[in-house]
Amino acid sequence: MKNAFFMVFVFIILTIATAFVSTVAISLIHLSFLMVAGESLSFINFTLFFQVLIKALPFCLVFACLGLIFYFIRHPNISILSTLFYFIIGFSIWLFAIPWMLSMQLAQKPLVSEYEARRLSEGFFRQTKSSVDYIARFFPEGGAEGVRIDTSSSGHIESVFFDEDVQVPEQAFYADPLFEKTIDLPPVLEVLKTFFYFARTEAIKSLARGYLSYLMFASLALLSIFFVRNINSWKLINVSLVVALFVSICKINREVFSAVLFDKMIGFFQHNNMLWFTNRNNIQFVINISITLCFCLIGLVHFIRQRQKIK
Amino acid sequence: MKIYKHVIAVILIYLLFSFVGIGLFVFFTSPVPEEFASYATQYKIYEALLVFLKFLPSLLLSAFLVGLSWSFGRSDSEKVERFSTIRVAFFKNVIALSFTCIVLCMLSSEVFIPLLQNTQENMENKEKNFEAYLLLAAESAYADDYIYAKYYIDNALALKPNAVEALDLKDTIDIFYSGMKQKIRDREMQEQVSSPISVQDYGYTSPQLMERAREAFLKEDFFNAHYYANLLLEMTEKKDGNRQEAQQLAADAWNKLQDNPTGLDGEQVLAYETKRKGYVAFINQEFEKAYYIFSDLKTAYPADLDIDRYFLLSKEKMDGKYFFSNEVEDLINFEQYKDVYFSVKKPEGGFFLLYWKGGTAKEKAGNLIQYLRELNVFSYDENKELEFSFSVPYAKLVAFPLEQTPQTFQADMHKRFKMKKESSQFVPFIYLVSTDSEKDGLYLGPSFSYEREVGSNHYNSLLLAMPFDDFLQICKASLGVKVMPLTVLASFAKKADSYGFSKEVYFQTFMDRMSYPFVLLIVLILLAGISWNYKLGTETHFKFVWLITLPLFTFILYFVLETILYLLNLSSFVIIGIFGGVAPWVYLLILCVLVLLSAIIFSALRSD
Repeated sequence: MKNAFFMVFVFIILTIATAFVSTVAISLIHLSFLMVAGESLSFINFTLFFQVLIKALPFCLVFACLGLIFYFIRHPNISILSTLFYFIIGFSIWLFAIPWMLSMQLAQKPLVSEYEARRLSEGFFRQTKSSVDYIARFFPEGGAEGVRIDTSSSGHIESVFFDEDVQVPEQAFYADPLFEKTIDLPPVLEVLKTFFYFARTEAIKSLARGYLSYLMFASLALLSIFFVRNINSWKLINVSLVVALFVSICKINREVFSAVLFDKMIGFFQHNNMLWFTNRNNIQFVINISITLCFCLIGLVHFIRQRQKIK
Repeated sequence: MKIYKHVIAVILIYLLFSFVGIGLFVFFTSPVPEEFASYATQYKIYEALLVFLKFLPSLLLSAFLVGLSWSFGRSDSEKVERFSTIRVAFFKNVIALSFTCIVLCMLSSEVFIPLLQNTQENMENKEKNFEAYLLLAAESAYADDYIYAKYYIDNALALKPNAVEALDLKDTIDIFYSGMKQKIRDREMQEQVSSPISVQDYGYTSPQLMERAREAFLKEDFFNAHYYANLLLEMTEKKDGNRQEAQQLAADAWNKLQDNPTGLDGEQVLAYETKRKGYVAFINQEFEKAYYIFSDLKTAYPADLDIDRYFLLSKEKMDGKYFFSNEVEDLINFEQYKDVYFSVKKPEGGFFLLYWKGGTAKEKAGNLIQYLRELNVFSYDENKELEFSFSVPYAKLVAFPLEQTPQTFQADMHKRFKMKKESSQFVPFIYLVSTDSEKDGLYLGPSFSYEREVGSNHYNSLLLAMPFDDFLQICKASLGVKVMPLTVLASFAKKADSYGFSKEVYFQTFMDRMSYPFVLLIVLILLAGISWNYKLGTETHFKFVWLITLPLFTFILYFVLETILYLLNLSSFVIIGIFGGVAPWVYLLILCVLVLLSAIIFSALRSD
């Protein structure tokens, strides 16, 4: 009993920690995009923190569940009650908390909209893709005067007038190109960001189609990793396997909505009049349920073998 | 309790396999860009090394994690309590192993990766430079300029020692070069014997000048007699006792100069008259005219001491105003800096904005001289309005002693940069006008593209109100902030915004590079904690096949490390925003606290 409650305490701590880290990190990224050289920017913005927290919390809860699996690997002798608590927490998150949070997000304004109108500062060289720009001064009536060095090939330099809004980078997310190289997400994080956007968008879409559709989307395969957590006798290997399985399940679910293979499969089902399978949420459901059953089976076989070894 | 054995074994085995694996993978899959076609194998080797070094931190971290987890399982770890003696021993071992990993990672990021990238860049330029050197060598040889020809062909052969075409050309050049060197040696010997007069006329006292003038007059060397007498009159005050005699001697010498010496043929008379014309131009401070007259005469009469002397004197005067266009011939192939730009405040208010396409530092002159190709200057007044802009095809920048600048300039430099009037203090001085060394009238100076008041700007030179060291740092910054030496980066970050660069970017890069070993140490200690928590069971038999999961850890840790470094980079902006110039110290303090915390976390772990 004590262990089960301690596990709940661990879950709460993990949720708070992941929520704090992800909120601070994402807010920091958002605010860094608004930085302009030589101008101060307040990095404390509670409205933004709250908005980010609401968006990040579903993911934090899922990661906290993953953290619980690591906890179970570290402490393999767990009680039935702890297992029961794990599944109660997991089901509560997927069936109630996430849908509720997603519906709250729909009512939210886009992030940091009030900051978008920042303009560049005077007196700095700014390297863009094809030129180096220097704003010497802003005109009171709008626009600015400065110098542009064409670095693409010719190296031609000339005095120029900048547009009224002085937005140097085209379709750039950042306010000042000076910080582009530092604040641009590294490729590995870009993958993570793309996945988060995908998961959030598809979850909201599924929820909009109805709760049953959302259940098909959720299909709880990530929770079933629990069954294969102690497959190896070295705990560290189990950690790596759990991470690999977690990433693989996310990847497979992502592919259902984007890969050519699944497009062909849907075409095939359409051709053969198997209409239930032409819905991607249904395919996702079948795949996730198969994964869950597979993991349950592996876990069961492993459990029986371990028991036999002990006897 | 030693835990090195397993960790070192795993690290060595894994690094070896990774090196071979990555090497083979890159070697057989990486495409070779067209410009590296002739160095395909070399390029692939460097590319494979670069990929290996890029992954080195995560390779080391994963091997460290797995090795330590194995090692902890094999040590007597069942009885370990929090902060116990055995835990302290473990911690010491972990720190020792961490330092080894950190040293390897630092060597990789600060030495080997920049070195390899540099080598790859050089390879790209190698072919291009070889062709250029070969062409220049052939051209110089064709123009009988064997000193240059020898220099170029040696450089070409340094790049490609076995190139047949270069070796053939070298043989031809060497024959002529040896003959020419002998001639030069003979001429130098001759000059040493017959040239007692030095052009160094500084530091003479009034009696010494008078003595020299008298001596020259007696030898019927009227040019020098007049010159020294005139110099005395220029240098001394009116009450000087020698002035009257000098005046008389100058007048007598001048009268003598008007008469052509007897016994000369037609050509010699013409030469004497031209010499006199040149001397008159020199005395009247028309140094350009004097220079070209004596330059022509020197070609025809190289042994004439008067001509040689006044040629050197007028060249000395020319050097103070112009530089010669032959100084910049072919420099484009040897440029060290490309696309350099910065802004610099003017003492009288406003600022200059400078940009040049390529810069060549004269290394023999201790980098105190630099030639700037296609220099563009934009001048703004104190209201940030454009006053004028001009460009010059080539400019010569020299380190100019601060003590020789105007008082107001010195006061401004002292106020803004705390520069004292010492001889070791220099500021950049740019010669904007170049001229031909032989032909008069070929001046190349500023070409104005904009003038607020047309015709009011005349610039032969430009004095920049900045320390010369700052100028050198700007040149280094143009090569890229990531490859700047860390000490230069730290020093330049403080003043970057004075020259139009973002202080935040330079401080952030400095903090990023400075924090890297600390971040690695924190991650390694925390990984040691994970190794402990998920260690191999004491009863469990280790299977080598488990090591195949190592690449999985490598990818996970690569992702983790990239994320941590990225978020720390962004955090450093916050610290810079709050603490400004002391941000690196604050950041260092935070990192030290994090190291301490991770050490406490590791030491507080115990057995199950």
